[in-house]
Amino acid sequence: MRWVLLATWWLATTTPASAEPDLHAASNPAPHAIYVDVLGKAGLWGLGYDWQARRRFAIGAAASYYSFDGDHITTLVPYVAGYPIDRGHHRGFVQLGPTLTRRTTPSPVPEWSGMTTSRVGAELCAGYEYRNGFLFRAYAMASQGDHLVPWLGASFGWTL
Amino acid sequence: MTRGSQVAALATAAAAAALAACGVDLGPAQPWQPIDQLQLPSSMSVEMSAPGTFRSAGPTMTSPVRVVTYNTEYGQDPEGLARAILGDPALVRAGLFLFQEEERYPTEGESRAARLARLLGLGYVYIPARMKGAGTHGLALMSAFPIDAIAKMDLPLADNGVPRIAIAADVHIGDRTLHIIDIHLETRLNPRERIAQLHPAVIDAAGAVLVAGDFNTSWVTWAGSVPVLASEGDQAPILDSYMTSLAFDAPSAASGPTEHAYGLEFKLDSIYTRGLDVTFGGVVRTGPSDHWPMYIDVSL
Repeated sequence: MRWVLLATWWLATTTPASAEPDLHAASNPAPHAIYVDVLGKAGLWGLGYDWQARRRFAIGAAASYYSFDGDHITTLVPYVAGYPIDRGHHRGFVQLGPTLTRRTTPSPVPEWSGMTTSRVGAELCAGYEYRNGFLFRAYAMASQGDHLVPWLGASFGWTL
Repeated sequence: MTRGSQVAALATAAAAAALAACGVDLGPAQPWQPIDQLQLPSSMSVEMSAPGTFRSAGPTMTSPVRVVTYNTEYGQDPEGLARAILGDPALVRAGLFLFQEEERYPTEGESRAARLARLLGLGYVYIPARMKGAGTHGLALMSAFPIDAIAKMDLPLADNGVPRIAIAADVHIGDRTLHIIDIHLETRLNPRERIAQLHPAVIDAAGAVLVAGDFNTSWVTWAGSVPVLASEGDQAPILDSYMTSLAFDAPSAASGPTEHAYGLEFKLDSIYTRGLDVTFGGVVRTGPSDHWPMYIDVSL
């Protein structure tokens, strides 16, 4: 987990504020994004928001809750995002942050009371973003929980 | 569409995504059936070596007894499996093996279990769980010690699964008896269904017992037959919790991965014991199967 915190700090502090004009002053007047993730950071799905603090830097979070085959799963993924590639509406992004997951498994049998687990992991996402009122992202990611696991996701939403 | 209605659509989509299928959807549990009372078609018959063949070619340990669980990936390479076992200093000393995914095909002459048992110099019993093409697929026990009271249980059938079984037996080691259960659970189950499938095989188990096999406790969440999620965590600790509630110990809980596929590793195999003095050995990450053998020492 320490490397996630260090990388997050590095990503947040190495973005050159003086060299990157505030987004409000740039051509894109919509620094807020709200979106639905299909697969991706928060598991099966997610509802997310992020705020573009600077041209190449944003912070945000995605969260989800779902019940799957009786298991109840809640996930929260705060993240920082960097945009190393910027071609107007088309950009490449990297997101990094911790993953907080709580899973409750009710018992299907009388002799066991069920189980609730909470775990903290980390996720690193990299992908493509189209941002022009409509928001679309497609990305690959690595999730480090009990194991290092590859995963994919797509986001659909709007910028405000 | 206004921005407000777009947000409402997003919220609706989110709510729909939160509603997924609930409940445990498995067939009924079946009782243990002694193998001499099984009514199976000839193509599904049980295969067992003569009592006199229960011996070992290797330096078998008797105190403690080393027990191995090993999914042999269809038993497709008996010679490679035998080389892996006889060539490993930890495995060659084992006196009892609980195998999963052994198979038999008419075109191959003897069964793959019989070939492996002959190479290991062990007695064996092979019990098919289901037909697979012209052959069968099932579980096998191989032992340097006499085995009796062998029984088979048809586990509750999952909607998206195939017939699965557990087999139980008494292994006689000197004047002591070790009761064992060899089991192979369905692949595409989430934790509650997995526990429901395991439950009938262990709920009435004898006081002192060793349960081992391929529990298929991956970190994948299944939507039918499709793996949809990876970050929710292993199913293994959930099964460990269930077995602990039945007074079992989970000596292999920290074994690490026992299977490798597509460049990824999973902990699918486990050993549970109750009323036994055991020392967990480890996982021997070698051999031709996609699973690795896991062993434990049982002091009787």
